[in-house]
Amino acid sequence: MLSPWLEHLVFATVAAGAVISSLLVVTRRNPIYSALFLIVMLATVSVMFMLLDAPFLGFMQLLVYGGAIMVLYLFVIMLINPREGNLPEEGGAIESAFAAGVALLLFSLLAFAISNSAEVNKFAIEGGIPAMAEIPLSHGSIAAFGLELFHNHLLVFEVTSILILVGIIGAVHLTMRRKSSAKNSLQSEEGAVTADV
Amino acid sequence: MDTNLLWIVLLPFLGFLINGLLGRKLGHKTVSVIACLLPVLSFVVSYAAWSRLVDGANALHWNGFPWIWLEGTLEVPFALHFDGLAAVMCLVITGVGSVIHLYSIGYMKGDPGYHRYFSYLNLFTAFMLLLVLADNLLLMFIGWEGVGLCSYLLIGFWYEDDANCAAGKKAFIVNRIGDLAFLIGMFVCLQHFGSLDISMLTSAEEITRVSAETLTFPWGAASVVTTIAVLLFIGATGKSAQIPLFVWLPDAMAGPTPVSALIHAATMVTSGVYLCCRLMPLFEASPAAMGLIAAVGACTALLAAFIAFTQNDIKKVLAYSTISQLGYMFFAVGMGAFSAALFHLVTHAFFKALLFLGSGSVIHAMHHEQDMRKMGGLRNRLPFTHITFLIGTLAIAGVPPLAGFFSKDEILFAGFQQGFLNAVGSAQLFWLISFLTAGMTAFYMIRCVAMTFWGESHVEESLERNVHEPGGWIGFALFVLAIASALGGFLNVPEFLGGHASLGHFTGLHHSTSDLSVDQLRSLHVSEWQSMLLSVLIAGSGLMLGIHCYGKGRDLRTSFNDSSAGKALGRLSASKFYVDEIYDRIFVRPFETLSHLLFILIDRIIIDGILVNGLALLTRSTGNVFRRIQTGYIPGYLLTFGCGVLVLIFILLNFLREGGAQ
Amino acid sequence: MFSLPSILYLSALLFCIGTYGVLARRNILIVLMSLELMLNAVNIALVAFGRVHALGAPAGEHGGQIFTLMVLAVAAAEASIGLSLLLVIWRRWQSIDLRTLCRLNN
Repeated sequence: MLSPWLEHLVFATVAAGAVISSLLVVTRRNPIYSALFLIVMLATVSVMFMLLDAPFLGFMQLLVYGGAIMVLYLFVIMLINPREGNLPEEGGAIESAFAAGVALLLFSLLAFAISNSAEVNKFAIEGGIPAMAEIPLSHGSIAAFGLELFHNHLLVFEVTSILILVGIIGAVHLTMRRKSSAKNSLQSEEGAVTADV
Repeated sequence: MDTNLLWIVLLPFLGFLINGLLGRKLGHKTVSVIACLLPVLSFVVSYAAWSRLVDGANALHWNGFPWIWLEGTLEVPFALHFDGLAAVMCLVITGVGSVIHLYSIGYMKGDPGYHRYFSYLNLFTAFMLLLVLADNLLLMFIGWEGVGLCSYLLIGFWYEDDANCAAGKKAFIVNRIGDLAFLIGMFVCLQHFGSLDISMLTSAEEITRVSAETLTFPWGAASVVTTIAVLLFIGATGKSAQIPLFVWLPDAMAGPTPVSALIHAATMVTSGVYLCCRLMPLFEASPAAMGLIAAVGACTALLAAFIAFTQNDIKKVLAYSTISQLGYMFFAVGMGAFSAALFHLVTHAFFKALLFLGSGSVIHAMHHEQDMRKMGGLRNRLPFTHITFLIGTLAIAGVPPLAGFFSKDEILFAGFQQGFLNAVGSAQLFWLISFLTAGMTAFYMIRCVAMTFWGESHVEESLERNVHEPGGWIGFALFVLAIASALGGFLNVPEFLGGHASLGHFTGLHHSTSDLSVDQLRSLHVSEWQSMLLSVLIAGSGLMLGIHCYGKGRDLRTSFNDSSAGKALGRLSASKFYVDEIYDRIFVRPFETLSHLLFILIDRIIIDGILVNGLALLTRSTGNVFRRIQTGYIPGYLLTFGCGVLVLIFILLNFLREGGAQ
Repeated sequence: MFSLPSILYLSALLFCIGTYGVLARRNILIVLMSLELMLNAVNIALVAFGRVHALGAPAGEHGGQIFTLMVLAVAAAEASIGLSLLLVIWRRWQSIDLRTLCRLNN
């Protein structure tokens, strides 16, 4: 167990890392950098999960996001091979400013909601997330989590598996080259090559 | 409970179904056999039922099934009632109807619409029988409308010709006016009698109960019974071509001639008279309505006879003659002589059907030439038709002892009795009118015969060689009807001639004379003799005058025609009293103008302009405005979406804060 | 400072950064990544709420965590579908610009 002081320090660091890496994700021009910073951000979120007594989720975060999803992203980025020449032109300052305005407004609304919520503030007054001693020891352990997942939420779990199956089939279906459109695709491929050259 | 009654109606209907649905595939022979056999069978069933009545059975009744059943408010069964009156009508309809069906086999031979014609004719027979047998007014109305429909279909049978279609429409529309009155009459019945059952409407207690009630109209109060009687009578004027709704019948001659014989002479047009007879107690309870009926009947008889003088189309003469004879029947109804009205209905069915079929035979032989001025001298070419037509003419003129003599005499005597024995002033006038009309009838009918069959031939030579007597079924039908016209009068020989007035007694319409003393009876019989002599005299003089004018005495005719009075009368008659023109001015033109205005205002401007095109325009213009939003530019969508989320969160927060404040 | 509100503020901030990315960028890849950012932001909030919620429950209460797991699964599915769509778009137009998807217009 970390001491509360250290805990706070870790939290602050992790939070700062998350914010900075997210900002970098959304501002980088080349998607390869964005992807790399996204991996950093996902790692900080994983640490955050651990701090919140959810070690299993933290590992899953690393495995699923870092190991599977981000690999997929990188794979696609490599396939597309975006370079300065074929990167899309980004919107102008006005468009970005507008988007930033919406985002800020959204944040202010959310912050307003958080600061005004009696439920949330109750915990703020009590001085933060309750210590481990006050909740069952087993909380967050993989065994307890697994038990609850497979006892109470089995159906949801199974439905999720179907969702993922649908996702796989969808992905295969979408990216598969059909015979009828093979010629078109070939031409596009050639076009891509000529563009590259 | 007698299910056989249903078969009377159902058999011709079956014929309609078979011929209507399968006729195209069946071939002429099969169609003819089916179409003629089923009405004949219906006649046989009617005859069987009639003989049971003769044997002394009470009226037969088929309870049927509940048809329109609103507990306590409107209970209409689908039930049939077969009493003496219905029996006579059924026999006339199926009997004359069967003969005309047979005639049609010859007349319609080779027509492309052969099966269609016979299916309509069968349907007509079925509806007419339903009308006659119906136990209540509503069911009768079904038959009433059904025969109107068939009449429309058959008038416009040769629909390739616009004039025929127009005639059909005219008949239908004019009938609608009468039907509306009939319908309103039924409503009033339902309101005050609480039922549409004929037994209820004719029961003495009910009528006494209801006759105490009055209805208030803007122009004054009228008793309920009078209102009902007048409304139903207006309905009858539509169907039976009386003033003011007679204009459709002459035009209805556009249909095939057997149709004119069956529908527009023998059966359908008499349904108005039948209605009056059926509801005799109701009509008798309203002297005002009876007076109106007598007036309308007498005036129609005179008017139509007058118009018939100058008609040159052989069928038009017969059409006006029909209107005139129907006027006689209504006159009889108005005089309270329901039995005489029914008797004349029956004999008229015989001789008018005979005359029409005879004219059809002439028209058939002349290759659809109907103008009598192009005929003449056909006696040699068509001897059989000539004889039968002459029998019909003498019968309608009232020459003893043919059918028309007895029936017309009875009607005239009814007027005579009302006018002079009972000293009713208006009846004297009406009697005089009918009396004159009897002479006129004889005159224009003999004119028709003379122009068609006698004298010199005006037939085109090329045509004349081909004119020959149509044989087969046409001849058979003429023969049967000629016998019926000659002997039909003996159905109802009046008592003073040693008869028993059997028809009147059988149908229960005859007013009993048994309560009169011997002296009264004797004086009554004396006046009956007087009346009869008068009517024979007038008929004879009409005939003589006609034969003279259209035979040797041509000078008399020309000198009359050249005189100023003759010219004026001739023009008035030939123009049919301008009735069509007057109706056109008063009703049709304003209606058309109004329709046109409404068409422009409501159809073109409001419906087409505002509702249809306006809505389309609105949709298109709003679409044009809002399609600008649909740029297909995804960042734009996302931005909008983000803004929407913001607004939603804002609203949500407001809700939460209000919830927290409470 | 490690309290529920602070975690929620962090979550909200990350979410808004993701929103900005989605709204401002035109590179489909980066938009997809921003979506992942937003999902993660929500996940943090979910876990934090779940942690607080577990207070009164005797045998532990993992609703928040389980929900997060589901979100992970959905995110995986979303990423796979999104990236396949991206590939299709790339094959078709040799572009990963959102503006090329304006074919809906007209």
